[in-house]
Amino acid sequence: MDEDNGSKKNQSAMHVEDISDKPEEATTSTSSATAAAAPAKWTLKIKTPNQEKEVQVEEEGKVKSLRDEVAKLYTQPSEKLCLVYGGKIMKDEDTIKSYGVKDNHSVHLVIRNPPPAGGSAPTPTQGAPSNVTTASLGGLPGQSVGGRPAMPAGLGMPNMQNLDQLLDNPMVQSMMSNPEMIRNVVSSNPQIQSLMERNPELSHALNNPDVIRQAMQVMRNPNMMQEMMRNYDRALSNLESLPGGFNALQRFYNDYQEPMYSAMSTQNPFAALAGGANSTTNPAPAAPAENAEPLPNPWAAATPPTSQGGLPRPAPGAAANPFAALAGSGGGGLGGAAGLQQMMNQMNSNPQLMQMAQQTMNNPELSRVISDPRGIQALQQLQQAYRTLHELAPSMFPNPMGALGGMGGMAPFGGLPGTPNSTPQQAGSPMDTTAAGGAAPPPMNAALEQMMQQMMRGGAAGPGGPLGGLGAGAVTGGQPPEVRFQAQLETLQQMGFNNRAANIRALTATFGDVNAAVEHLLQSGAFPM
Amino acid sequence: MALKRINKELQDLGRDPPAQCSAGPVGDDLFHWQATIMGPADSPYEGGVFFLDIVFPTDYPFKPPKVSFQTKIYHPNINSNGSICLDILRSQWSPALTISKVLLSICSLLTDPNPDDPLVPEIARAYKTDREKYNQMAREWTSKYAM
Repeated sequence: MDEDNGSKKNQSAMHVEDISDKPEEATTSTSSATAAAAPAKWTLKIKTPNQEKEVQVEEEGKVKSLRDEVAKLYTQPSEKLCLVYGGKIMKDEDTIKSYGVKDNHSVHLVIRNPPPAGGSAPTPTQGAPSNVTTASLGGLPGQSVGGRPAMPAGLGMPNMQNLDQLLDNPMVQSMMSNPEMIRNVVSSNPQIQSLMERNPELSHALNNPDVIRQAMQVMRNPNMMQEMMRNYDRALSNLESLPGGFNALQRFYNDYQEPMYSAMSTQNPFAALAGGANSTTNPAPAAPAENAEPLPNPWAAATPPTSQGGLPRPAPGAAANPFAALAGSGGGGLGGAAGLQQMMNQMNSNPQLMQMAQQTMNNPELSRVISDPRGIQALQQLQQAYRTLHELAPSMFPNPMGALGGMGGMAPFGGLPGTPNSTPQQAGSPMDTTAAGGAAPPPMNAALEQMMQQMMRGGAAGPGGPLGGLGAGAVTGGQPPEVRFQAQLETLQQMGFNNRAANIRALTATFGDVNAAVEHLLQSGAFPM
Repeated sequence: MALKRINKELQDLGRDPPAQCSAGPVGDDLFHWQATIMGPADSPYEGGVFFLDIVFPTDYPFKPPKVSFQTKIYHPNINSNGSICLDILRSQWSPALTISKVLLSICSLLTDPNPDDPLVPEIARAYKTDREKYNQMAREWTSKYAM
């Protein structure tokens, strides 16, 4: 057996060389060469899930003869056998060669048992259960069947207690129990509006107080949440079967999720705290602002504005809001999830912040402004005005987002839907905050504005609030590219791009988008293909 | 680039395929393959032969292949269109993976479904709450569609 393995290895080594020299001939040359050598006999390996035997057949033989041979070998009636090669079931009347079989190749054998009536217990004929396959999978890079390893731990189940507290907050409750208010918020978002126009069903859902209330319930109940997640996954899969849907999804995953996660996983708690510190003047809305709920399914549809509690979406896929992706507002879902995670992390690590947020939320004035449509409108206008200022005099009013509390995670998709979310520039520096103080009125309003902005612009998925955003911005901004893009660097390495410096350059230039970086690398000639 | 890699995988598969999977081009187009997976012995899919369709993107291996079941199967992570909910076919794809590893992963997904990330919620529920019923249904579908 050992010998056999050894010789197999040799052969495969030779074969590989052979292919790399002349790939286009590989398939034809071998067979013509052997054909010239007259009525040769081939040795084929016949594999069942748990054993492997060798059989000699004539090269020009029919499948029928092979089958008879195998039947003898395995002492099974020929008609119970089913031979498979190259993903095809071999038919008796065809020649073995017609399936592309070559000497020393393996053919799979399935021994069919008459289907047990009524589907009783598994038939034992195949011998002992072979756990080998499962075990051997452990070594595969980056794959997990059981779970999603790439998911940052924090996103899984942030602090449920905090969440509950938030949801139990009287103000949050009163906001939530007011469907009018929620509807208002929802319908003032242009993205959601266009969505609703295109999907009458959705608009129905969003206008239905029952649905909204249900969504609130869902958020407070883990079981319902899970149920919702299932529906969500289903929606995703349905989306995939639409023409072009899968591509949109795929693009979305590749372009946003990857850089996003790597940005999140390389977070620096201190940077986050520092970021939090300069927002302490108005950390409040962070708590109520959020909603990481993308609106992929009708359930989730109502949640964006309602999910005041910074609803933790447990699924990584959650980040990928299919509608957002289709609507071209790509980063929405992700930004939300990322910011959210940041926010939760920060909250958990800083009870004071949490407290402060709660206090501010209990401030009746705040709730009055928020619940008044005119207040919201005014805030929107303010924000609009500031953006205009920024356009006119970028140097004076540095970065509208950064200024407004440094919604690092948000800014890219707010402004440029096409860019990856991990762009580092948006760190909310103290400078920016000051600028905002000048341009935008009292702290409370500025804070509210942030919140509103998030609600409005975040579209489907609200960001994690100024806190979260701030954290994200500060975090990504402060790290060298090799740390920030570590995951992408590894990917590039795996692809065979060995020039680390060039990789870093490419990733920096492409803001961590691996695909773009590969193109960059290939074009720049840094890596000879 | 893609063709070279696909060719290499084809050669490797022909010579030393995984025990329960087999794959090869459908016709002359090397970017379109079909594959079979034999139901793993320790699963209710035992004895079934499941056909899969594989389409390689032109930028393979930088993008994952599209793999879908052609044979109906009762499984929490595989829907009636044959779409497979498997992270390595989406976000967790790596150019270091090969078709044979993907097929092996699918095999192990058959043995160990992942009901927490289901594509078909009803089946996931059956799997979680009423394993006997799930096993029975899976066996029924297997003998009905895959034998």
